[in-house]
Amino acid sequence: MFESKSIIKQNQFGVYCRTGQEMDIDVEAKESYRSMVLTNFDSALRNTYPLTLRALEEEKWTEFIHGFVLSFKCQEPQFWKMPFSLISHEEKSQWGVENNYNWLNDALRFEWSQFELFYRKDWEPVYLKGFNDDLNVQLVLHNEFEVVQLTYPIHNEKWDDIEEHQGPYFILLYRDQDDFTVKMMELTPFLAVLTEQLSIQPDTVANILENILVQNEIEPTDEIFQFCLEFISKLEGIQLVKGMK
Amino acid sequence: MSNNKVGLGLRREIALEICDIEDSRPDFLELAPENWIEVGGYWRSILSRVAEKYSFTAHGLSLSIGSTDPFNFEFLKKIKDFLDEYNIDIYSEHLSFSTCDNAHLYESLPVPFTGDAVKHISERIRTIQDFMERPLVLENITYYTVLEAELSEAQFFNKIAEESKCKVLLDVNNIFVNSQNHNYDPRKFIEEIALENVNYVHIGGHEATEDGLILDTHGQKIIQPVYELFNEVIRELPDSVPVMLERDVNFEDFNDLKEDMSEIRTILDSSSVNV
Repeated sequence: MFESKSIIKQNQFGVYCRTGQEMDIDVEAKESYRSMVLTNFDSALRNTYPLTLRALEEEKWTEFIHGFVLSFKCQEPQFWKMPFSLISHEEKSQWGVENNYNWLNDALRFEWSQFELFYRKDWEPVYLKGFNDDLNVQLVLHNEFEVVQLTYPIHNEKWDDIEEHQGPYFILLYRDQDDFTVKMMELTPFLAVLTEQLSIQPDTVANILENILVQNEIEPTDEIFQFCLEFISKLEGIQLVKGMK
Repeated sequence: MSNNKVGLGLRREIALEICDIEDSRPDFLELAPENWIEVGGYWRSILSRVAEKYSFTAHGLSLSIGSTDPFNFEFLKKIKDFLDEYNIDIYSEHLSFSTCDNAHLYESLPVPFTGDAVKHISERIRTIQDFMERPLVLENITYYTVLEAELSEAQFFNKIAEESKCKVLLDVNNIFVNSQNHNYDPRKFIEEIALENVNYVHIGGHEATEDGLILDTHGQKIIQPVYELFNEVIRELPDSVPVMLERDVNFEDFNDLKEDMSEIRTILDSSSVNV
């Protein structure tokens, strides 16, 4: 690595812009540069986490964000993906718990999932046969959805007494295949597990369902199978199930 | 028909308008690969529509050519694939640093204009050019401080271009802004910089603050002194090069952009006639 005097000065200047920690060199307009760096981070994070911002309010938001910029070294080259780093920072620093915002981690994960799903890389379409109510087939789901488990009802957007309404809650977030907007559907824990398993297990619906029932000590009945068929039809209706193998 | 190419920055705020524009169309669009790589859904569908109608140049944001941090080759491969996918020849970046101490700052910060920095940056440029299999085109940024200056900015550019064989993206507005903020004659910069290395030009608007500082906001129409400087640059350039109008904010009136593009084209065409 190059370590000439001028490049050392450059690095000290760069560290100052991120951390605000005083350096032993004099650089004109350094405060303006630090302000530009902070503003860039702040603007992107406000855009990604509007509900969190509203709930924390300005003073605490600024404290949280400045702490993040100071202590978290962002590795993400794409600026639009940078806000995800705030979740990593929060999980490490536990700033939310320390400041009695126990819902903060839920809020960040929920808002990030909504944001990221809107931008997520498209699912590569493949030719598939349509689902025809046969449980002995393997379903193919696209990747433009997320099942988010929350302790607090972040999805309701009314957070006044949020601490009194602890869940768990299971929210299916998915990107509408026609208008690209991100929509949500509240699921029961059973359907949340079923949805996740359908997307990751290379197995038939019948086998996946049987495993879930065994693990949860639930007696299989015709009603349960019918209920699952109806749910899968619903997933097909929102085009989350793309077909079967 | 004129060979002069006038482009416009592809911003999301005007992407739909650009798709549907009938008259005064830009000849090409410039985009930042970082803003589009791995983007799906609505914006990917818009990009596909735009790509059917326009060719692209690329202006990167994350390379940090002046940094001492190592390159992220995994991500550079994604940029390269993106450039290949859209047949992009011009891959430009900022002659600055935006990562430090292993962290992204998401801002272009100035590098010292020193011989050490020339060596350091030239070596990094050669690495990038080999990897990307195309020349790197480096832009003169606006700066509000000079970290250290053994060389003038133009000499610094010339040395780097000579050592690395990179190309230069000359931002005429940035020359003007820097000359005002640092109190020098912008024409001196143009006289000093080796114009044969320039293969791409940017021009845009700026804003003056109450305390006299000029900020490179890309949010206003181009002012007359910048056009005059642009006219001089164009007349001095040995070859015709693509020119891109930068506008990052204030899109309320698209006619502003059309007027600026039209004025740029007029200057380019009059310069071609005179050759």
